[in-house]
Amino acid sequence: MRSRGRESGGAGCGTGRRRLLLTFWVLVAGGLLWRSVDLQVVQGAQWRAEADRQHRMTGEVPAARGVIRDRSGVPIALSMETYMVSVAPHEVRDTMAVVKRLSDALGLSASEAERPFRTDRRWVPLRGRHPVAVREALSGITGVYVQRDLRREAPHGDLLAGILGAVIDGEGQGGVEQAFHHHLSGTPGLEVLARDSRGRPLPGESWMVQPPRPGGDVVLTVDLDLQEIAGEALREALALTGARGGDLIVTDPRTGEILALVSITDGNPRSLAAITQPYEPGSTLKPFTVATLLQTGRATMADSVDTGDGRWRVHGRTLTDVQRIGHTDLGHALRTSSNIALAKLAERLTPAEQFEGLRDFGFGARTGVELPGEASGRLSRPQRWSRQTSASLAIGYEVSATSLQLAMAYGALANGGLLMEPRLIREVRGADGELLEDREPRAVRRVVSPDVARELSVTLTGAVEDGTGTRAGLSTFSVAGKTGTTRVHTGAGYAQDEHFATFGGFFPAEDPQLVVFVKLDRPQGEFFGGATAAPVTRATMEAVLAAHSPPLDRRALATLARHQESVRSGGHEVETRSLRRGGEVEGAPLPSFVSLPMEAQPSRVDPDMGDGDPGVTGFDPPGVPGLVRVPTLDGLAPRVAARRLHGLGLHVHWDLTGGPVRATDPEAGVLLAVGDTVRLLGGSENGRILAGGRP
Amino acid sequence: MPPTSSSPPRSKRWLGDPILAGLALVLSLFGIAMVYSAGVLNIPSPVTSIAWRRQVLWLVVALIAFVAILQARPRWIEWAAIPAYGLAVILLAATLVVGTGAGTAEGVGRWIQLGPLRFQPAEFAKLAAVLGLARLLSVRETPPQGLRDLVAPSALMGLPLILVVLQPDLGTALAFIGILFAALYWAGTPPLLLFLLASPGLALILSFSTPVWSVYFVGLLVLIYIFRYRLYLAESVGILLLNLAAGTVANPLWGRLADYQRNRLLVFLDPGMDPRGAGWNLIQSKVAIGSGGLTGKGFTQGTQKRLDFLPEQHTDFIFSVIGEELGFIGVTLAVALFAFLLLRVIRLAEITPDPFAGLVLFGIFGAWLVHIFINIGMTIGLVPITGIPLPFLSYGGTFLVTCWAFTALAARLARREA
Repeated sequence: MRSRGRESGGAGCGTGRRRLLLTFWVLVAGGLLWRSVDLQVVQGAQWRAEADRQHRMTGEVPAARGVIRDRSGVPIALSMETYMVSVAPHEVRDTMAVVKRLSDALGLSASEAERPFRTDRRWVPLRGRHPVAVREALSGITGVYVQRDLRREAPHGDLLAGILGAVIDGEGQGGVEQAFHHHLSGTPGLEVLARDSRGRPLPGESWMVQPPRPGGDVVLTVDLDLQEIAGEALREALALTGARGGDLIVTDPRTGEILALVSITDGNPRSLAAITQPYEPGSTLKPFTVATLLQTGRATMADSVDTGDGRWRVHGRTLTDVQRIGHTDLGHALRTSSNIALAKLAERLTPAEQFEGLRDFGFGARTGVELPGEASGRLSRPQRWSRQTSASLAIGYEVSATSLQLAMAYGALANGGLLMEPRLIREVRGADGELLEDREPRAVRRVVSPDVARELSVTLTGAVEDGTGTRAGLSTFSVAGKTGTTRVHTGAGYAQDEHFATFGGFFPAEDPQLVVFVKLDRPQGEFFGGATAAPVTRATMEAVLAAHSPPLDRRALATLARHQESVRSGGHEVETRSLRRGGEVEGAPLPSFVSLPMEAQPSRVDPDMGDGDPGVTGFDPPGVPGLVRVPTLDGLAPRVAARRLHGLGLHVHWDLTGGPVRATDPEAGVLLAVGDTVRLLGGSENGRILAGGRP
Repeated sequence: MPPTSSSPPRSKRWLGDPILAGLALVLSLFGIAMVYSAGVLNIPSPVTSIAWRRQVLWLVVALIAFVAILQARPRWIEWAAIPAYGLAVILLAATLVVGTGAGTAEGVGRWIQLGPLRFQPAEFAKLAAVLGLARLLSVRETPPQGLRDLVAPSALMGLPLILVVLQPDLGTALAFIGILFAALYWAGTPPLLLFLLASPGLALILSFSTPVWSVYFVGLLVLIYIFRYRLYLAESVGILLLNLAAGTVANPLWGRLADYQRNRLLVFLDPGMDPRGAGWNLIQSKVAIGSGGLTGKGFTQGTQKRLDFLPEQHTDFIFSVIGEELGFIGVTLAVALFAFLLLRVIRLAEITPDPFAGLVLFGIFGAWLVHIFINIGMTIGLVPITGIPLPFLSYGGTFLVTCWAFTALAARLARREA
């Protein structure tokens, strides 16, 4: 449209121009409204969804990790759910009200609750960890943030550190935590959070879409009491001998259950060297060569062998014996650990027989224990042997094995010839405690006949009583066992003054209930197995007896002990009526028990004690014989308290979730019979134990 | 409402035009309410939460200015036009040297600090430009007949425009173009001339596609051929050369720039553009308005605003807050208020017998039209994001005072007694 000519005034226009402008403006305004309708009404739902998507985010809610328990159900690794509170002072609107609610909910002093508001910082974490109630009390306050924190707690410190492994950033690292990670970890839940444009979640605005499923429990075969005893015995042995490290394994030969397993490497208790570090077992392997000789019928215990003057040159190598025993039989040769005798007799075996014999005892193959990183050790096939290999294998060289493999092999001698699969996991339970898996003992194979096993067992008892392992002997029960001393093989060859001292043994020899295998890595000074490793075994066995651990069959022991007493008349037999209080103590009540002759502090290893057991005295509690008073243990670390109770001959039941002992049941001062159970009570009160309680 | 009475009633003395003043007041109060709401965030910011109180203070200042301008004689206003224009240019030039940043436009120097007072010379320049242009055009004997008649008005607007672009403040610069075209149109400029004046800019926009631009250019040639007798040869050639340059040189030059260089140039022209990249502002504004639906989420309840997704919610994107919290109903209300405001300005221009008054009214119309269309248009995705406030509603002191000064000028000049 063109303008009509204006004749006057230059500017100023007629209605044509006005109408055009009006139309133009109405069109513009209409266009804006039309676009708004499109956006808000037509596409409204779509934009609303987009808005929701923007300020909703889904977050993972970590699941509580399952509990790892010892064989009697005591938690040894559990997740604690605690809450930490932080304040963003500049976001708080009503400072006074928030200070009040903080001090009410957290029990803070007024000045502590005001602290966040006296600083310029944008984020002030408050001290302390709080129970779940705090989350509800403080929810929905702008500027106050409550964060859930799941922490893995080991109430017993590093006592089981190696077996348990660790949890790092929610991932199991090493040990049972790693092996059973998928079972323990559970399934994280999902929650929807409201957030602002910078991704900050809004306090109090979250909706749980899918709650987390807590992880299941794992019940170990480990006995906390025995583990404590084993750990203490090994630690003291290391202190005494200056050894760099060591392993101590206690198993039940009848089931293959691992009752205690401790490894310390260079002071690190998280080590699992007992299953990951094979070494050359030396003399500790000799019983298996003998077993193979007997089983194949190539020799009997009575076969005589000439060891000459203690030096024998074979295939370009000279073997020596520590003890010159001259012309002797196989049994005595084994007891005195004669290298020459073993090497000579091993020549009767074909390489295949010798190899298969050792292989059947489990050497050269992983035991299958449920822990990550297990080593198989090394056992060469006959095709790869040199001319020296047969002699080497007979005395435990050119072969490597882990302490666990050896413990299982000794178990086979102890239980009548069956190689058991090591059992570390007793039960696998769901989060609600339902039994998912009940692991039965499993035999791998029969290695030797019961007769052969029996014969070796008798011979090895002799080794402890008059052979190289004398320091392991107990005065009341027979111990069967064998020492070993191996030179440490470094990269460049065998080190001159570095040795492994080992002792593998089981007791009571007549009806073995426990296998104890001890290995010390490079003890200083006296390095022969008999002088270092065997006393550790002895101390362990004594402590186990004193602790009256559940895995021991006391009835069988008592019968045996009576038998022994009458045979040896060494100790004295006492029968006392049990003073246990009805119903409070687990297990079948014992009508009687045996007071065993032993030292008052059984876990101490005395390097001078030993040969004829002259230092062992009868246990004589103050006052009434066979009775002890519960000592005051409040405030002590659980392990220290347990050690005291063990020293008094009392059984300990752990009922703690961490922290010092708060009370005992029965309380201090009560008279108990030796062998009774004392419950240690305690645990941090902050935090909720998830999936806690006993199954 | 014919302005015939020689002694105006009291209401006219204090309100000028009651309808215009009423619309302006309703819009201002609406604005304060929305600025208040814009400050209600989940995690409050100290600046936006008290912005509404400052806006109330500025409204008081604006009302005082409004009443004061109403008392001025139209002849004084006409006389003051040229000095005001000169002062505005000087202030704009000074801003380039001593300007400071503030608020959401912290990085750019748009403000001049005078003791405790801080104001935007660009806003005053709009006012002065409207008056200056009206003065220039009103003394003409005849409407502009050729392109040469448009040189002076274009230069008059071009000077402050360039100074504002250099600040840089592209949004406000567009207002000068609105003022120029609206006033020229009302001065009786033939649409052909307005089209030719706008053609280089049009060519620039169309040059994104060579075929489209080619068609456009052929059309332009035909147009110039048809109206060849109304143009000097130099004008025709000049326009064609400008179009040719805009269509052929600009685009390839632009295309040879790297992405980041283009972005830098765009951000230089308009710092408010896309601070978080990838069209964040536009998307967030559309999400906020779109999710408001028909009835909105309720006053102060907008989630996108509360959760800090919506950028500059109390200034350039105040309309998005309206759309989110009051829904399409609120949007309709705001657009309707603006529609009546501009219709009233047109009505006043129509009834005034004075050419100067009519031209001022149309300058105001042009400025507001640009502000309203570009601001609302960008929040709903009709035009690119440009930093430009919404009259009466956006937070901003100088801008509110300018809007009320425009209102006062419109009302005072419209009832100019002979």
